[in-house]
Amino acid sequence: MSFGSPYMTIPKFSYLKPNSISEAIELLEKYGDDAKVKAGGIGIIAFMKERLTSASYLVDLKGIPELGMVQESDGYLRIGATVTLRRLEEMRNLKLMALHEAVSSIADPIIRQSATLVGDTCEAIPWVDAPPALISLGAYAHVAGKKGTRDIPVSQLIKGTGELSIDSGEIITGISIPESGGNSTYVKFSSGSEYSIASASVNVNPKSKELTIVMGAVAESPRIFNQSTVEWKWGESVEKNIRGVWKTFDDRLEPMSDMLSSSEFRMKISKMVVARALKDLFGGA
Amino acid sequence: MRTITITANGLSREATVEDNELLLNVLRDKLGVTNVKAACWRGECGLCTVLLNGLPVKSCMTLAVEADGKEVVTAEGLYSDERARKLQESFVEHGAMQCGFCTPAFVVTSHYVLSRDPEIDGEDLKKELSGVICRCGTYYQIYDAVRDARKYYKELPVRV
Ligand SMILES: Cc1cc2nc3c(=O)[nH]c(=O)nc-3n(C[C@H](O)[C@H](O)[C@H](O)COP(=O)(O)OP(=O)(O)OC[C@H]3O[C@@H](n4cnc5c(N)ncnc54)[C@H](O)[C@@H]3O)c2cc1C
Ligand code: FES
Ligand code: FES
Repeated sequence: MSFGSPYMTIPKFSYLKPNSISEAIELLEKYGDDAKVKAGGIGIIAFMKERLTSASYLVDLKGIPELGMVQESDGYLRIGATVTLRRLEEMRNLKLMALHEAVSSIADPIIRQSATLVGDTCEAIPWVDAPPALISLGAYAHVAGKKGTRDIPVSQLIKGTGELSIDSGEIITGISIPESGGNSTYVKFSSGSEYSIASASVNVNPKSKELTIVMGAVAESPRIFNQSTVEWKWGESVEKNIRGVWKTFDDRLEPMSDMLSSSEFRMKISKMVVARALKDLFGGA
Repeated sequence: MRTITITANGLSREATVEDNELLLNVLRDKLGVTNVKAACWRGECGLCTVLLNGLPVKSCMTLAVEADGKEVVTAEGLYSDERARKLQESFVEHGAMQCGFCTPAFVVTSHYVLSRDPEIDGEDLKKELSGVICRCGTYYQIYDAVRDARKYYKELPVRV
């Protein structure tokens, strides 16, 4: 078939399927910028079809057994790099509501069967759903490279559109999320199957009185608000507090303008999704 | 070029493929499995959905090499399963199609959905089927057909 759209084909590359993390890192070191990592492949295949990215070597992580694991230990939930969105969505005992809601809002159930949490996070497009939820929950990413391993908070992982704060020879092996974080929720607004215009992930710990609001799709990387940037009076009514959050947004959110939405419309939607999320958590109509 | 082996609808087949070939194109052009359809080639319409080792994937977003050594099933390959035969009859009885182009994808997807949860209903059913688009808009007939076929997935043995 040669008619029609460029989506029908992918430019040539060599497919590599390492069996271990060290083998994957070796391949990435060897081929440098000519190699790209693949997890579920939904993002990278779409980008290659659209000729937005290219690679001479595609390193598939799906052959590395340990990356497919979900583990609970020491109060953390650790999710390996090839764990699919579908698998997380189906975890009945998942207490992290923001994660559950964000994950089950992504694309559709069939895409979620292939796509991974780490892949969605590493895609680092402003409107992807995983990062705001992960950041509000205080998640961090495990990074492995030739020099060894390190952990970075997901809030510091995404530098800008498609830009991560890891080297080309490094991979993310998984993400860990503290399970004691409190109550959380994720609300997004998208028109039909379009990408989010704005999303809000809110996490509140009533005991320690900590509140974190993370706004997705409003800037190149998620915007984080907490007690130091938002005026939140414990004991005050939700409605009053929401108005306080809106005031902060007026002063500091500065939503971007793009083909999906103007800055003004995005501001309205941001206020709507944050209000909905806060009412979910604190009650109120 | 490399040679891969795919069990397509029960038959073990070999194909010589490039690493950058899509499973969809290999199924249709090299293995003659034309029962799998495509419209968007970008993961949106779901018409290219197949069961890969029993799980639904969009074959336009899957590399052929990823299916090496695995089992691919499309609607026609479900014919050996009595439940799935009844499901397909239910599509016919309910007129759950107009042009029929989306039917193979809805059949494999709803077969998967019913095999997991033969009690599924309402919004859950709609959500589970939301990965496939019917351009002719026969959704209500499709939901009815699937709902009606639930009894076979409760009563009949898994494979006959
Ligand atoms: C029809 C459709 C609808 C969609 N709707 C949504 C939506 O509503 N919300 C949403 O958030 N997304 C949406 N997406 C995007 C999709 O969810 C993401 O593309 C997908 O989650 C990426 O996961 P993946 O495992 O397929 O990643 P891949 O495609 O394998 O990788 C994505 C990127 O991350 C890099 N990467 C992957 N794993 C690692 C790793 N371990 N270490 C370092 N880098 C890595 C890759 O090199 C690549 O650049 C949609 C996509 C489609 C096709
Ligand atoms: S052709 Fe694969 S989803 Fe449309
Ligand atoms: S019957 Fe025509 S696309 Fe569904």
